[in-house]
Amino acid sequence: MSGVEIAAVSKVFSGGVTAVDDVTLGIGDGEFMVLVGPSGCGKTTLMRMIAGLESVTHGAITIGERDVTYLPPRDRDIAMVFQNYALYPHMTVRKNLAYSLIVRKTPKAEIARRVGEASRMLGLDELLERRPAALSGGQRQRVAMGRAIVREPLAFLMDEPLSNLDAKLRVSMRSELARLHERLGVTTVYVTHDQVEAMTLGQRVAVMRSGRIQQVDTPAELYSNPANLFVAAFMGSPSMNLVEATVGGGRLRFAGFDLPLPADRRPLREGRVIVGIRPQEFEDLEFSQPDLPQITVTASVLELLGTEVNVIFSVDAPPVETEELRAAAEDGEGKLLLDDNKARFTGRLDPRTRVRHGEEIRLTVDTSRCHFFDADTGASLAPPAAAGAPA
Amino acid sequence: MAATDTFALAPVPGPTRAGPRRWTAGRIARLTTLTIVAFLFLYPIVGFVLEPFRSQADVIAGRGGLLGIGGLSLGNITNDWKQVYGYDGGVIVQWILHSVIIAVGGAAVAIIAAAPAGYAMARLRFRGRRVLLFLTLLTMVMPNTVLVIPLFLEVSAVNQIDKLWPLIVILGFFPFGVYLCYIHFFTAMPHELVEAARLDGLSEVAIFFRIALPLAKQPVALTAFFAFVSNWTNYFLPLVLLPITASSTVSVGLQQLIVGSQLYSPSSAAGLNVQLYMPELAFATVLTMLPVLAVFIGAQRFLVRGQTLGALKG
Repeated sequence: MSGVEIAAVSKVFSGGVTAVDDVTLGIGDGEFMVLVGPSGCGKTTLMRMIAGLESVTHGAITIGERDVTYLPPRDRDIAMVFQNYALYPHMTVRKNLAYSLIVRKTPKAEIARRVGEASRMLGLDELLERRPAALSGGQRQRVAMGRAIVREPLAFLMDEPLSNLDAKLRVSMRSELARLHERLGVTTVYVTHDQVEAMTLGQRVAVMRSGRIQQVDTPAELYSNPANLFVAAFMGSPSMNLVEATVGGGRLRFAGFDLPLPADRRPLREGRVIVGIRPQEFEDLEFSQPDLPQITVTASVLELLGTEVNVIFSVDAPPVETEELRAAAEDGEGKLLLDDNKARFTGRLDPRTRVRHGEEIRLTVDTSRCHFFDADTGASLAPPAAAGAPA
Repeated sequence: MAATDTFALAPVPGPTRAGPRRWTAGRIARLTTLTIVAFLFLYPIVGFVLEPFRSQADVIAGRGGLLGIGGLSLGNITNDWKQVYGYDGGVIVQWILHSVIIAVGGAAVAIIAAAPAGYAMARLRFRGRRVLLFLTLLTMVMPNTVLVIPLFLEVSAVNQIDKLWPLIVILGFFPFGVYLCYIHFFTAMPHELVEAARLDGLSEVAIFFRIALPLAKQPVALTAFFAFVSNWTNYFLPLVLLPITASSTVSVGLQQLIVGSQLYSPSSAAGLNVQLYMPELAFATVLTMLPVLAVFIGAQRFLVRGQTLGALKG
C-alpha cells in the first residue's frame, strides 16, 4: 500500500506565519490527488512537507504506512517533479535519468533497464546524449518526469510542472500525464494554481485557502456542490455569478428579478442569502426551454469563442465583495473597472445566438441549478444530501 | 463590437537602412576627448614598457624621439638582464619564485576555503549564518595593513618568520572570494537543484562536490584570479614576515633594487658591481609584471562572463 496520510499537520514559519493550518488529508493508494488554490494558500508548503523539504511543526505524515514525519527526503521513497524541472545542467539526459539510481548504487543492468523503459515511454531515446540546455521546455519537462519514473517510488509529488510551458503544450502534456498515471498507477500528489488543470487531472481535488483545506472532493462534486463561497468562486471558468438575494415563499429575488425556485432546490433557510448561478445556466430563450424562468438583460460585452458565446451583462445590484471572493479572484478575473457599482454577470450561450453588443436579450435561468450561500459566513446553504464534503 | 474581435493592426515599420554617421560637432568633440584621455593613459605605460630597450645615456639625453622609439635596441635588454641578475647573485629569480609560490598557494587555499564557505552561506541553514555573512562583508572592507602587526606577532611567536607557508595560509584568507562564491550560489544556482539532489539521495557534502562545484567554474576562476593578483602585489605582509632579502617577494624586492640604484641611493650603490638605472629598473618591473599579465590574459573569458554573474536568473 502506498497511500499518503497527512494527520493534523501544521507549518508555522519563524516570524509566526502559519502556512499550513491543521490539515488532515488521506490520499489513497494509486490516487491522483490535486492540491489547488490561489498563491500563498499553503499547497506548495504542504507538498514540500510531504517531500521532507520543509519540517513539520505539528502533526504526522505517513507514506505507505510508514511514518516519515522526521525522515530526511532521501529516505521517504518519493520522487518529485519541480516547476522549473531542476535538471542537472552539467549532466546528459541519460545521466540525469540515472543519477538517483547511481547514488543508490543500483546495479548497472537495472539502471539501464529502467532508464531505457522511461526513455521509451516518454520519447526521449534520441535525446539521451544531450544536455538540458539543448532541450526545449517540453523535452525538459519529460526528462524531469522520467527522472521521477525511474525511481519507481511509492509516490510522485509534482509542483506545478506544467506552469512553465506555453498554453498548447500544457494541454498536450496534461493528457500525457493522465495517460502516464493510468499506466503506472503510482500515488500522485499534484500542486497547481490552475483550476482547469485540477479539474481535468485530479481524481480528487483538495481546494486550499490560507493554509486550510476548504473542500476535498471529485472535480464533479466540487463543481456541482461547492462547500462555500470560496470554492464556488474559485472553481469554474468563467467564474460563478454571485449576487445578494432573498429567498422566501418559493421565490428567488435579486437585482429586481423575481424568479420561482423548485422545491427541491431551496436553501436550508430563507431570507438574505448569496445566490450563485453558473454561466451555463443562462441561455438565449431562442435556444432554450421556454418554461424556464426568464430575465431581460442588455449585453454589454460579447466574447465569441466559436463553441459558445459569453455575454457579459450588468444586473441592478451591487457586486458581492467578500474576502473569499478577493482570494478566489487572485488572477484578476472579474476585476473589471466598475464605475456604476453594479454586479457583472457572465452567461454562456449557444453559439447561434444573434445577440449584438448593446442589445437587449431575453435569457432563461435554470434556477434548479442555483447555489446558495450564507451572506455572512459564505457557507453553503444547500440541503445536506447535496452539500459538498469539507475537509 | 465584441470584446474578442480582432483589430487591423498598424503596419510595423521595417528596419531603416543606416547610412554613414555624420560628423557632428558633438561627435568630433567626443572623439577628441577620448583620444586625448587614451593618449594620457597609454603614454606612460608604453613609455615604461619601451624603457628597457633604451640605454641610460639615451634616456638622460632624451635621444630617440617620442618615447625613445628611434633608439630602441634588443642589445639593451641583454644588458638590463645582466645588471639585474647580477644584483645580489641573481636574487630576482628567488623573488619571482617566492611570489609564484605564495600567489599560487594563497589562491589555492582561498579557493578551497571560499567555495564551500560561499555555498554553505548561500544554500544551508544554520545558526549564525547571517552573522557570518555580515562578518565576511566587514572583513572585506577592512584594510589589510591594520592586520600586519598582529600577524607578525603571531608568526613570530611560533618562530616561523622568514618561512613561506605562514604567508600562504594568511593570504588564503580571502573574504572577497567567499562573497563572490556566495553571490554565485545564491543567485545563479536554483535552490530546486539542491532539493532535487537531496531527494536523489545525496548528502550535503556530496551535493557540494557533485552538483554545486561543477557548476561554479566561473566564481572559482574569478576567486583564483583576484586572489592571485592580490597576493602577487601584496607588499606589507612579505615586508614584515620575510625580512631577509633572499627570502622576499618581488613587491618588496623591487624596492631593494631601487635602494641599490645609483639614481636613488648613490651611497648604497657605491659598493655594488651592477648599474641599476632607469632602463634596468624598468626592465625588472616589467619582468615581475609578466606572470600577472599571463594570468590576466588566461582569465579573460571568465572575467568577461563574470561581469554578469548573478545578473540573470537560471
